Amino acid sequence: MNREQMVEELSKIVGKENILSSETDLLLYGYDASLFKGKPDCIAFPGSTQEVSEIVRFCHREKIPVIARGSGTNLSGGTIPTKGGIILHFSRMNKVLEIDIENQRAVVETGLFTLALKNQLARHGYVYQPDPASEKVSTFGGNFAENSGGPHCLKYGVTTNHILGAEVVLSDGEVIQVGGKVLDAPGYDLTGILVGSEGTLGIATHLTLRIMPKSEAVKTMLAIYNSLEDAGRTVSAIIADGIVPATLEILDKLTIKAVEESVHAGFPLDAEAVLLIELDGLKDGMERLAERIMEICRKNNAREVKSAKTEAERTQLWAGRKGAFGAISRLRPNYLVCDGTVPRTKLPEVLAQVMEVSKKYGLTIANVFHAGDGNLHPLILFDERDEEELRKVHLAGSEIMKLCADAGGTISGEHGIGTEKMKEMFFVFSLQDIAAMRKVKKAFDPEDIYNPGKILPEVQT
Amino acid sequence: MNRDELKVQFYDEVAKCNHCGFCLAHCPVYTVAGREWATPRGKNALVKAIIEGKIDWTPEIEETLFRCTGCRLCTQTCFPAVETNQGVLAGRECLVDRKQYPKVIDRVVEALESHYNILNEPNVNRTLWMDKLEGIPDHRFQKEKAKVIYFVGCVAAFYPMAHKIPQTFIQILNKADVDFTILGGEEWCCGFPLIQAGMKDKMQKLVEHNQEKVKDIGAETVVFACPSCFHTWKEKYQTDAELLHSTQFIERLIGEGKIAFQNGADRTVTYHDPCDLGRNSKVFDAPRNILKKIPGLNLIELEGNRQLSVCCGGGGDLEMIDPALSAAIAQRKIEEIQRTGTEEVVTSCQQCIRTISGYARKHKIKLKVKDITEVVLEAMG
Amino acid sequence: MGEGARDMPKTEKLVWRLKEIVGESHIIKEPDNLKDYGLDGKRPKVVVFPGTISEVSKVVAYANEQSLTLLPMGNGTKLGMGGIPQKMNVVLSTLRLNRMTDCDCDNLTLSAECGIPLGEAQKRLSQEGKGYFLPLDPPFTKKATLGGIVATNSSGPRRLLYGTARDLIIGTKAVFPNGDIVASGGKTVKNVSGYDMCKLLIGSYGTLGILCEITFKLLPLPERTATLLLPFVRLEEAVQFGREILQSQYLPSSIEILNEMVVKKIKPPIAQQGNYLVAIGLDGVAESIERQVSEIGERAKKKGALEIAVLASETHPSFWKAIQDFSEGLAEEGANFISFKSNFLISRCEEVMGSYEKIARESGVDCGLICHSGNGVLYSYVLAGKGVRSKKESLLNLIKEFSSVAVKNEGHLVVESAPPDIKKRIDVWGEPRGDYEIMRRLKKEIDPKGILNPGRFVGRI
Repeated sequence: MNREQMVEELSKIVGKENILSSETDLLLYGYDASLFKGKPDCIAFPGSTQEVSEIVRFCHREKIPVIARGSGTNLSGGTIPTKGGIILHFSRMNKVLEIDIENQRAVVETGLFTLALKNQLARHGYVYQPDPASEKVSTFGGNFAENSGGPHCLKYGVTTNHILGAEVVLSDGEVIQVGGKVLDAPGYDLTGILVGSEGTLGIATHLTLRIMPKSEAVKTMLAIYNSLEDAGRTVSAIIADGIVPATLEILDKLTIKAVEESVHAGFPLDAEAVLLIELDGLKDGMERLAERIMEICRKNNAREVKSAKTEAERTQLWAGRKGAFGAISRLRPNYLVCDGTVPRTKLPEVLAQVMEVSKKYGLTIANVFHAGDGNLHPLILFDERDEEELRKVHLAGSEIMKLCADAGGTISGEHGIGTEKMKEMFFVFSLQDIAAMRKVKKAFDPEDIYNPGKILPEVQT
Repeated sequence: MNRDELKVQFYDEVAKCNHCGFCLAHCPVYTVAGREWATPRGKNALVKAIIEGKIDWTPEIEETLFRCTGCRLCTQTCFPAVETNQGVLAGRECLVDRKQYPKVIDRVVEALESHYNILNEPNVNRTLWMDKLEGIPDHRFQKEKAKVIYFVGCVAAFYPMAHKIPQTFIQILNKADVDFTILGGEEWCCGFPLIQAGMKDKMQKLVEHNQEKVKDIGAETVVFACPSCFHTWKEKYQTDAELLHSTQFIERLIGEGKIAFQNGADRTVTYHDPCDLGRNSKVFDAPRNILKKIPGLNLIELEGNRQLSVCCGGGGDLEMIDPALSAAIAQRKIEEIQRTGTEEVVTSCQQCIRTISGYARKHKIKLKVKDITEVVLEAMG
Repeated sequence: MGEGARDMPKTEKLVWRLKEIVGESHIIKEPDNLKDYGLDGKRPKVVVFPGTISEVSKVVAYANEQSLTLLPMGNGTKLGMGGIPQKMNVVLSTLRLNRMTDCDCDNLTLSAECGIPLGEAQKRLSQEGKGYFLPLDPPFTKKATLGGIVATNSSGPRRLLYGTARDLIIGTKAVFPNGDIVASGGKTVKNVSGYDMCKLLIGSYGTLGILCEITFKLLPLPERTATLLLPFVRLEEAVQFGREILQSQYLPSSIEILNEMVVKKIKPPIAQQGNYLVAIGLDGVAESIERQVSEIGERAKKKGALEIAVLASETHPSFWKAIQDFSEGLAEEGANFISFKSNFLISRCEEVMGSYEKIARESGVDCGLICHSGNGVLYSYVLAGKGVRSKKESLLNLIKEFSSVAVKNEGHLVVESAPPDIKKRIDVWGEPRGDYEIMRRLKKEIDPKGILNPGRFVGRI
């Protein structure tokens, strides 16, 4: 179907003012925060589940790919229209539908920014736990599709542990409700399989979320190291001591430098690594635990350990962590965020191997990661305009994924497979594993119209 | 400017944008438009695509580049601090050279060329705001020599809704015994609208005229109640005179004991940082210090305050080019103000006042919008 | 056609092939011994005990090829749950899959084969290092195997703090109906590589795949535990108090509300019984337990608790065990009972519990209630007494009324066990919802021949 016809049909559903199809707009919806680019056929802005359903019904009939998109902060190319098609953009569906304190649930439209809900919840003394670094702009739809993580996932789990239900538009346009405000609905855990399916199985329009009372107390500490390995070892030691903090985050020297230049978090520039530790919960015993943790840090050669005395100090330490990715781009124009996960005990070993990769390719790699989860984020620095360098970046990225897989880990902890890591899927999965996933895809989307060309590599049979 | 010049000057800058999208959370235009073209990320991507020859100067690029308030909140919140607005303005310069820009701009250019003000009125009308004031001295505050020049600015001089600013400010200056003058018909537009229009090379005549006037009068200080004039002078003018915003000057007068507050003010207000005063000229404390000095006045901060202040919608010629978009941004601003629970917002910019109170009036929203000079004059008694 | 004539050789061939796979000593085929494996009047032709995952794979592949149905079973504690089997050719016992394959306490993960009873795994974990545990506390504390617990998504009171299988499982290895060994997840706590197949298998009652190995998140044993027993006269008071604690910043591991019938049976160490007992479990650091015991106790007194009984570390496990094993206890008494699981909005505990008691009273039967009040999950036990047949209609009516109360409160009613006469007349899962069609499609894609546990899941899947 040609573009004019497509626009005409879609206009009947959402109105002409909610369709974009100029060359300029096609360029603007062809990228996300990854290194990949594509080109959609047009972009539609639905205002309701009903409109989403009608658009999908049309696409299903005409076999046009549909790619749902929120803020486009995806790091693995999950929102790249690799096979053309219609971008469904959720900026018009961005309302908090309900904050139900009594039942400890919130219901939101999927175009809502994560932080926007959190700000509203704060007025009730409540929190939604997942905290992806991009939360100020990442939409709930994106969190749902990618099963986003964040620093606090160590204690509270990832997005999937906090999404309890969804209104979902299936690939034929049918609208169903999966899960809901109540727990343990009989039947398969469709919510569970949909979360993290990167828009390939269903498009969520409303989500039901678990919310909880805010912790009574928080304690944030910073340990400074002369060696990255010592920081890594401290993480294992804290956990081995029977303490599970809310967060354990490490930033290496390069990252520290970049962060200091942009947000001045107060990290010392000559340190090799800093470890950010946060405890939360009841105030009782927290000081004692903090003491124990600081003792463990010192035993593992931390040269200095300090704790935030005020909320302002805490915010400042966190600003350093949250701003790390962006700050890196002060060093070189571009960066690739690798997102590998290893069993936490393997961290020091894998970090050393990552540095080998850096040497091998002559690429600068900065490290900032969720150490408590074993989730590494090596950031490979480069200039996108240098094609040879870009080629090496892709090779190095893939090699780092292999290292993680070989250490008993996996190729994505929270950013997804998207277009970026389809071939790396074979580092961790067998043909049988992938064939099983394909069956799930087929059950949900037999025509392969939802975000085609993502996650599952083509398997020669 | 052409594509090659654009490349030399801005390729490295826009290449720093990793399309992380964090700016989407802040950009006032995106917040109301919800479209990628509105985002700083999108604007960087388009400038980059132009430079790389991947896209031509489409009509959409024109629309896009001329829809930016210049508030620079994106740069403030961008980790690599990409200067998106600089790229946008350069893009506008390219578009202007291609004669591809909103036609409404021609009217402004024509006005500035023939009457040296944006309203295309006889320039002597710059002092009409004075007519309603009583007890005006014969010199009508236009002296041959003075220590201080008060540069009124086009908006405050010509728009009735903003007249209260010069009206109150000259009373303050008068009461504080400041030896000051205004330039009256000899005040020419500072050139800010031309920078925003992508025609900064047309502003030289205006700059030179105004600089010359400062010399003639022998002023040591030029004071501005308009943050955009103030910012433009600071960035583009060469003068030995000290350049101060009215809030800085008032703060100084308070310090010198020349302004004292007789009247208490038993009420709560919030303060909106104008982009060109706060983020872009880094004047955050002066207005707050003034408000704190007024007995009984309680100040609550907005969610976005100081460096994180959100534009009212009136910045960067947007009100002229796309009034509906500008109004939609103003609506968000008013909602933010209302969330503080106060019914009065104080600011220090005639454009912010026009945008905010214009929207409030049109939509019958109960909100007092005051310039800080009004609050000061009231409290002086 | 002479069915028998065709069946005989088929069974023989089956036995021969199974022997070939697992060895003669790991098969039961004698009719007398098969008796113990009967369910709802049906009996398998053979019971097979594969010793490795690869043997499971071969057994399943063969069954699939021959279109023979398989019923996976551990210790059979939850065999009564689910619908009446459509067909039951082979029982596949997981009991020989009983290895702890990777007990990596430093990484806070355990990979174990699914035939191990949870109790055994807990014992071993408690002895590792400083002591660890798998934070699941489902019924049948002695016998329930990991596989059975996960396949039925079984949980217990402490789910309030620790969540359920979907929150604790990070990897599975399962044999799919075509015999493929399918791995999903791994041993990293964050993992978004491919679809989250684990979620699909949890609570799927063995209808999609046979769980063979499961990887769980572990936690260090809490420093201290305690339980507050707070008897109240009125249901309203008990529920209100539970809600007050739920909405607070305290961090109880469980908030259970038991009714008089349950209290009488489990005989907790309290002097005054009241009609409703609120039991609050606390896990954590010593200081926080101390404070919570005293403050929650104080609050309870103000809200009308008849008594504040505190169970310390020694006495508290037996109390919780009695709750977990309540239905087992009834069974051991030889009681004739129907057990239910209802879920509903957290805020509707009072309405649901009150209605159930009223319905039971009007039907002239005794009804025990154990409510995870912080989760909106209620287990009810209706003592049918002797002569179920004569009461059948009244009991069926009671089930209908229970169900409509749950549905009215946005939930569901599942009949977990019932005498055969009752079971025949109802769908134990209740009415399928709007998401049923996609469940059916999943089943069809993954198990096209319907060999895995057919007829026993939602909508007769």
